[in-house]
Amino acid sequence: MKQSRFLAVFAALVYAFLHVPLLILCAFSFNSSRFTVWEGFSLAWYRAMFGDAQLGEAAWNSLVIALASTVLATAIGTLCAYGLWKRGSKWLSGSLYLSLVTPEIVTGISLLAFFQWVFRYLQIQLGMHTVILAHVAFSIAYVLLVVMARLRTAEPALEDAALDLGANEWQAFRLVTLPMLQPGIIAAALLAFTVSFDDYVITSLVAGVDSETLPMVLYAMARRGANPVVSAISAVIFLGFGALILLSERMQKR
Amino acid sequence: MNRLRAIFLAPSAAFTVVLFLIPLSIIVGYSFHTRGVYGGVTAPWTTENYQRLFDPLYGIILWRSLVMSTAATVLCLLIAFPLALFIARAGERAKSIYLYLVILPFWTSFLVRTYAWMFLLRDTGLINSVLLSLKIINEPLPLLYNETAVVVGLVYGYLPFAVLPLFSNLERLDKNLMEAAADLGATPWNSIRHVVLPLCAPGMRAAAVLVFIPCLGAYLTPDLLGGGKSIMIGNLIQNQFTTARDWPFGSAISLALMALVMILLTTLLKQDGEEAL
Amino acid sequence: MENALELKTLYKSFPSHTVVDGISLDVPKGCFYSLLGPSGCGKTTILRMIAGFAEPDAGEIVLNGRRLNGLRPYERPVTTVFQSYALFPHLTAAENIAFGLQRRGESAAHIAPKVNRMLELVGLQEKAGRLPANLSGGEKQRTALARALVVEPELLLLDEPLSALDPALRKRVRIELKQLQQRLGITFLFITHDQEEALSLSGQIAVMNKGKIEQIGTPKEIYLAPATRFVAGFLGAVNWVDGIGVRPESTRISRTAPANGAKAVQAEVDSSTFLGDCFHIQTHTADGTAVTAQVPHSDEPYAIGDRVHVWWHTSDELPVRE
Repeated sequence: MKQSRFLAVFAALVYAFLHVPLLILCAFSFNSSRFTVWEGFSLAWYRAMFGDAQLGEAAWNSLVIALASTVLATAIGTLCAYGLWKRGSKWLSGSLYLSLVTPEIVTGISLLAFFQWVFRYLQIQLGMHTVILAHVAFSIAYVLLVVMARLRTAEPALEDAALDLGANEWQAFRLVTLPMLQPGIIAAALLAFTVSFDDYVITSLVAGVDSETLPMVLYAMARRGANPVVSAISAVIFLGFGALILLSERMQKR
Repeated sequence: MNRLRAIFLAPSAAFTVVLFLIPLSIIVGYSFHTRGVYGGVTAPWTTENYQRLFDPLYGIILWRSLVMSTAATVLCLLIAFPLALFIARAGERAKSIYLYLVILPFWTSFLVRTYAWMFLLRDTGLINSVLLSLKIINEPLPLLYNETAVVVGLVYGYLPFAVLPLFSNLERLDKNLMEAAADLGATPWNSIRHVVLPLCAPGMRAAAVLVFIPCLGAYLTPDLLGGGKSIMIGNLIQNQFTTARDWPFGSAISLALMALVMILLTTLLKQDGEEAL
Repeated sequence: MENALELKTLYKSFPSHTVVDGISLDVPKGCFYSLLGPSGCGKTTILRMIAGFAEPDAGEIVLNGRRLNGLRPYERPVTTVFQSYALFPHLTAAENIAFGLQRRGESAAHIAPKVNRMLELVGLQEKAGRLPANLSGGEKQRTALARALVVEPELLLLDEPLSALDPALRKRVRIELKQLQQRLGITFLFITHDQEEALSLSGQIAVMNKGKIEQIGTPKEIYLAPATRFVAGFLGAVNWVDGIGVRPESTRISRTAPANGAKAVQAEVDSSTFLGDCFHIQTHTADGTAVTAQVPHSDEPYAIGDRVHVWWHTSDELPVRE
């Protein structure tokens, strides 16, 4: 179909709106000046970034939390999707969808209230473990959504065929359904990783002193004012996620 | 089979009960309690926290949240519909690239995206620097820390949520519809207005819900782009749980927000049936 | 003859209605047995109950003397060729065929020759390493058949396995399927809504309607001596004149009254349809009953509005009881 010129110009403007702010941010991370006037190319802010021990620790925490919660949430969410696909459960799917539409801030404060309440009886404190638990809790619904979408388009007779040929229920799941779900599971894991790595609101509420994450440090730096190091971190995160997406697309096409 | 299914559902059920339903119930319980002298939650039971929601002091924040979310949603739909139309009419290869370009910023950190706008809008930001150096203005324009900045940030943050449902709705439409309309003498604008737009109602509703709900509960955008003056419900809740240390009231606001979200979802999506989610 | 499968007054209801309403039938050993009926008549539910995907509300399923009720699908010596084939998309044709043997714990050394023999039997040696996505419709169908047969089931269930094929291929596969069944001697229970398929393939046919069996018999019996109006109509076109049924191919047409010994009715020609190997002349009688006669090319052409006699030999009347 022929594109109208109006639509094409409009689309170009929207794409500019979406991408130019990020591109400018990345470009200025190579500026030698700390102000928003271009004074020449420099890697000073990247050096500052890699030299910052607090930043390094926060990035490491974020990575550990994201990896741990992704593995757990993907496994739990996939099993959940499969179970609900076999036979629905109104309360469980209803609760999970509710958790998906619950504003982050509400999820965060309710988890904070819950942990504080529990810790009154147990001698535990907020830390990496509470962050991971919280991340798993809110990621399961995302995984469920993605894997369920894949299951809905699946050939329903496949499992019957496996059972028919002598596979028991577990074998039918492991040998037939799981391989068939693989692209969906990868996509779900990627989504879970991104929402975990990116989360600030919930994390900041349930993190302890030893579990500061990258978004928490970024937030603090951003609030303090202009800081080219934030631009440098942004550029790295932007490129890092871009590469991750491309990689997963490749893996799924294979 | 039932045993396997039970085993498969057990972990998610446990997580949902322990880390979602019980915490939510605690908030419900807190919302009917009184703030303690040192910020804790104590007896007696009361509905006072809910009455305070109608206090003009807080009412204005609730009202502002609704207005700004509505503005952001309307803007998102206005921007997303032509873009979705453009993508839907592109060739197969171009289509996937255009879609990828819409989703790409979404995969980047939300904080980074918000910071990009601070970088552009602040007094010493790029826009003011350029305008100052070109001598167009003598003093930096107050672009950041106002409601416009928040709405821009919200539109920027949630635009993909509007484009995707509209695109998939347009994709499902019969490709011959526009041609049939043109055949019957409709101009392109007429055929969009009288044929495509009415058939996109479900996509529009889904897009509106998907943008409005996160806007209403937004925390980071008003916090970073709005400064202290343009706070929304999300910031009010956070404030009650941190500085103000009024957990019962914070709980009541949270539940009011949840109620708003639920009302929206049920009324707007009712027409699309249960499958809409 | 000894029975392979016996269904004893099976019942199955879903909340809205009863789909299987007291079905009993015996499938002889080595027979190509068809369940024929319109969609929604309950035949697929019967197949699912035999395979173990659904349990009957009442009644017994007995296979070679062993009661199957309550057994899981993987505990039953029955395999299925699914309507959609349900080939495992991540496994090659050969791996699909090997799946059932592997589940039985057979060693790779045992499996390979069996798979090869099967591939050869269905003519897929060249395609062994291909994924289902890269197989044609007919190749998929043969893979599904091979996969179900390789485990040497006591009974093979076929759920409309030809319906996804295009018409020309369908006829060829039909012949192959019949030859294969005769060669292997395995009992086939074939589900179809296509009367031509059932007539051409089966040793015996059970015609079903609304959850009940209308008639059981050989193809010839069912076609020539249908027990009910439903069976008569489902297996082919029927002219119903004064409660008597007669098929168009037994119905003659002439301008003059026929010689005695035949039953004749006066009619007026409505239309004439050329079908390649013959003509169908549609007429109506004085009381408005539509009667179609099949006539050879050689017959003189009839024009619309012609007054004619339609007639048949009483021996060609269908002996419908009701």
